[in-house]
Amino acid sequence: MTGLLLIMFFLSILPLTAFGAGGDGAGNTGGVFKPLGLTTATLEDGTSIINAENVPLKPKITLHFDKNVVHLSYWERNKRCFHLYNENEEELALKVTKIDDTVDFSKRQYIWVEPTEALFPGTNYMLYVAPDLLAKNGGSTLAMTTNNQGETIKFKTAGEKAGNTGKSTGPAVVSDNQSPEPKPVEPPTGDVPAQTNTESTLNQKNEISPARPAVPGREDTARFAAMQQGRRMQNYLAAAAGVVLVGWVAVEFFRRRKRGARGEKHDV
Amino acid sequence: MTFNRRIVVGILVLVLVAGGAFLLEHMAKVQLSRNGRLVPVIQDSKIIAYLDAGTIRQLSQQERELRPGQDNSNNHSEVSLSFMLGSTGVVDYQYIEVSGVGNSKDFKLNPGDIEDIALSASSNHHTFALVNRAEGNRVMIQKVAKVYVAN
Repeated sequence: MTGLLLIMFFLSILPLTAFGAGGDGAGNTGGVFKPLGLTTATLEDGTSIINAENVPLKPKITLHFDKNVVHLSYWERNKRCFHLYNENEEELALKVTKIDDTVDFSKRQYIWVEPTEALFPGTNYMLYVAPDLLAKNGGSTLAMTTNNQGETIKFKTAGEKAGNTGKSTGPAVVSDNQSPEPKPVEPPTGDVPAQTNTESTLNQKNEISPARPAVPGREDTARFAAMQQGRRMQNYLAAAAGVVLVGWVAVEFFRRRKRGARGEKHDV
Repeated sequence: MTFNRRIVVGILVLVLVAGGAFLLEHMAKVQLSRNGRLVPVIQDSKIIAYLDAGTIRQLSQQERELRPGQDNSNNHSEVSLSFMLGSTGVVDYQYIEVSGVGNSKDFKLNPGDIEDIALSASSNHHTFALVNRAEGNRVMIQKVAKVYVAN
């Protein structure tokens, strides 16, 4: 019985250690913070928006990070890190939303970004997440996984490009009434408007951000993949421990049953 | 006790512990909300965030970092209502209604009215007050119980 209780105790602790390893907590006293990274950027239907084409004109983009980025203390700071630019490098108004972690803890790593007005069809856009994005632990920033450059996500809207595209659809502010936002570290260069669609696509596929070389981008992707693999390993480990526990209970159950049956025979 | 019975009892204990934890959390939220220690921010009939005195102090620090030269530069336990709303994710609203514990008066504030209004954490009671900075930090509500955001 003691063994069973111990195993149950350790199984209960295991997910907590995995949680703590993710740097999701309130910080650590050692001053060493694990880097904050963008895991996925998807549309409402779940498809990735990174280098995507045929993106709806009013996309609601879900950004999934690998740490808590919605905590009250840092939300005022974090919501200023999101910027949307058109082909002419003009900033468009964005609506940045979250679900607070005090209400739904499972959504603590998600931020939703939506342009306040519809985008132009057949036009290239760039969503920029500044490197100052801060996790709840107060030390992990996006700069750590992006070589201080921030994350740049390019996409192209659906439809044919009209004559008057790329114009700003609104003031260059986040959709709240806060003070003006800091400019991003590297000004975005955007795509050349005269490029054909095919050329734009090729360029987009070959570089994640024009503000930084393609190689670090691949490194970031590899790092994200490594992080995800680590999480998968933790899940496998937990599952394996569960299987071992169930197996042990089953073996013990049958062993005792068998012993009981023998005892009865001896009694007879 | 047979081995089978022990397993069943073990599983029952686990279920009870898990269920009890949820029940305890719910009861704590209700109890703390009643005495102003945990304040829900409600928008569209949904709770969008919970605040407590500790959160107000954290927000106060953040506001001082992001908005240097604010009125609260010397007060480490006070945050402006506008900064608090922004931090909870409130973007657009028609008015704010702040109510207090017990029979205290409710305050309905329009976006233009909240500039001088702040939340001030109490060091003794683990609660926070609604104060008016323009009137020498006059206490409007001693223990805030609920913040309602109307769209």
